[in-house]
Amino acid sequence: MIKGLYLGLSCFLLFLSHILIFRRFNIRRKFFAITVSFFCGILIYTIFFLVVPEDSLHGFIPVLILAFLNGTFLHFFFYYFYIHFIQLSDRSLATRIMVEIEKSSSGRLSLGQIKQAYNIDKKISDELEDMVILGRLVKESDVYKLTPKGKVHLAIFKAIRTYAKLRRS
Amino acid sequence: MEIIKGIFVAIFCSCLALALHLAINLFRKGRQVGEPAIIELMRQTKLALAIWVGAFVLFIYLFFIPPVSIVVLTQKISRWGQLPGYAYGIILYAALCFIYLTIYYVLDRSVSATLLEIIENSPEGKLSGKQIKEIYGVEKKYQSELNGMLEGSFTVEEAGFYSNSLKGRLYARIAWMIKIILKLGPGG
Repeated sequence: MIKGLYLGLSCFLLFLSHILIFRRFNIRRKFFAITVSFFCGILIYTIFFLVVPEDSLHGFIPVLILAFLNGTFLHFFFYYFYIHFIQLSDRSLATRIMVEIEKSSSGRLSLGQIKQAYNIDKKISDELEDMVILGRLVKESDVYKLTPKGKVHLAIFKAIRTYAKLRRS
Repeated sequence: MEIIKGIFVAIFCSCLALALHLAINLFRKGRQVGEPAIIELMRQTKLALAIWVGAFVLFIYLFFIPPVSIVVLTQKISRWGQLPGYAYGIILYAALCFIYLTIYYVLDRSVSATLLEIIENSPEGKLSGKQIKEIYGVEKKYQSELNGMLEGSFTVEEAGFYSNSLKGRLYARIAWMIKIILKLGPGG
């Protein structure tokens, strides 16, 4: 088990190297590249799992501490997964469109029908109001302005988006 | 042995926390009409966190004083050789990648970050709701979302009509169910 744990963690660090590839090269199909990196990681993991002897990775951290940390990670990972899924179900535009298609009697909708069922214009208004509640924006007579908190939030997003050459959605 | 025990205790405690959260939601009012969308989501996040932190106390207790059933199960699985270790390594790798991808998704697709950027980039550093929508391009957003769904094979297009693929249907139904159970309303 300890070997799998260390190798899984190492392969994840290797998987992260695609960020540097995105930075160095202009990759168009980024999600495809990430998927390929993920499966390459599993392949490398399998090779190392077969090659590395079981006992070689023992002793870095006491087993009891390692098991406790791993269990703690898993416990809070389930929370993270659950909350992320709730957020995605509730906030994602794509999810809402898919639910509207699913709810329709024929199970299919044209672009015009999607626009009738789901108003993105209202979604933008709601997003702006939410950001006022969260303290990222301030609304003064129908005009929105960034707060210091909003500026920090944006600076973090912009820095990472620029570094990884991500598009503006 | 210890690691397998930790995994089982974590799964048990998380299942308990999930069941408790869903049960509590049976008695909650959910999102109120006209209420800003973020409020109920914040309540749900805080409630779930409180439950999970509570369950973590149980996790600590069961980790150090495990019940006999978990000890027996752990002993059985540890006799399977290297297979559990191999499988768990992949699960851990996938879990870490999942966390990374969710952060990537937020960075890549965040509507709020883009709206903030639009306001900041304006000459006066302030815009009305109407101006923001014009710059953002609501019309283009529909098409870009649909393109993303087609690329991810969640949706298929036939003669100008969009329908969900099997993957999309499964995902939409789970999301729809979550919205009903947690009383989130249409959302979006």
